[in-house]
Amino acid sequence: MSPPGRKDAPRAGAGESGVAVLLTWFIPGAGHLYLGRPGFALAAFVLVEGLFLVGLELSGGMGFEMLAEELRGPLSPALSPEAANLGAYLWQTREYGFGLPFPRPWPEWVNLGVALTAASGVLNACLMSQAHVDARLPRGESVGRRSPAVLALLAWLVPGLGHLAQGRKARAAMVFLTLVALLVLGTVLAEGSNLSRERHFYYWGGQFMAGLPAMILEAAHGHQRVSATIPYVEAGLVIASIAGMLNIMAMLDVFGCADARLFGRAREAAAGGAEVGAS
Amino acid sequence: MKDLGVHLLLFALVAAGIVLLSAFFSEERDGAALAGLPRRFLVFFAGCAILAGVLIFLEHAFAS
Repeated sequence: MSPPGRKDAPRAGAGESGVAVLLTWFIPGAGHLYLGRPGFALAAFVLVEGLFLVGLELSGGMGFEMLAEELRGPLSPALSPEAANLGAYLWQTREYGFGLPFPRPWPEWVNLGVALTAASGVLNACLMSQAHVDARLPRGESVGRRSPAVLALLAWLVPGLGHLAQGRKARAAMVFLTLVALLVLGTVLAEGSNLSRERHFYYWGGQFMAGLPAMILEAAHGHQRVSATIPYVEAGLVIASIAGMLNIMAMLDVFGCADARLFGRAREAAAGGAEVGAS
Repeated sequence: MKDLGVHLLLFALVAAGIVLLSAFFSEERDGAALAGLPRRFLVFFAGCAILAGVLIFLEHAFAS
């Protein structure tokens, strides 16, 4: 990594960060194409849209069909993680929508499929934050693997992992224990019924933000038949969903800290250079 | 009302997570975040208690 603006004054960024973020939101990689990084743009596009297309194929495009009929509306799927990959989300909404007007069986791999389409949304959100960082760096410079966006992605995958990669070990342990404990508590209270997008579309979206622990729990205990009233199902749903939403806050904490370290240091270097030049 | 205690316990557990993560979000240093926890807990619980009171009052006044 080479900090920007080490010489006399901070050099201009590669582009407008807001434009880069918006372009990436619509089409993964478009922001980096705008920033003059076509290779990265192509790789990002293939990765994010590839993940989305594999998920779409496995789920038969039935991801939004899982939304209960009484909840369906023009914007109702927009609260799903897929909405962070806006171009693909709009395409899926137009091509598949809420499915056919009669019931039909789910494809065999539908749950893996919807997890992949949702993951493409989260990945694109991290790509948007990468575009935000890259736009502020001078053209041709990059931050490498310790980018704030990569750390935020790690923080999504496993709560606390982003903090650990930053060297904030105590915080990493507390975040991991708190969020996984809440997720497990919610799952126990809801007796595993929370781990199904088909049954609880929006709560599932919240839980999905807890990353791999939520996916592993779903693979191990999800989609079970419910044959009796579950006394604390609402409490379980809310608690497990809150665990995922709190992980977004943890991701923002990781991103904010890494961003401040990166650009704060650059500002200090630029200010130091300016002082040397003045004296 | 018979399981009010259970609900209060669950609320306290969720509140602990919310307050801890928001403290971490606000403070970059762990020491400062942990030192501010008691005050944050107090504010969170007081705020929730006031909100619950207002909702119960509104329910009794207009919905029952």
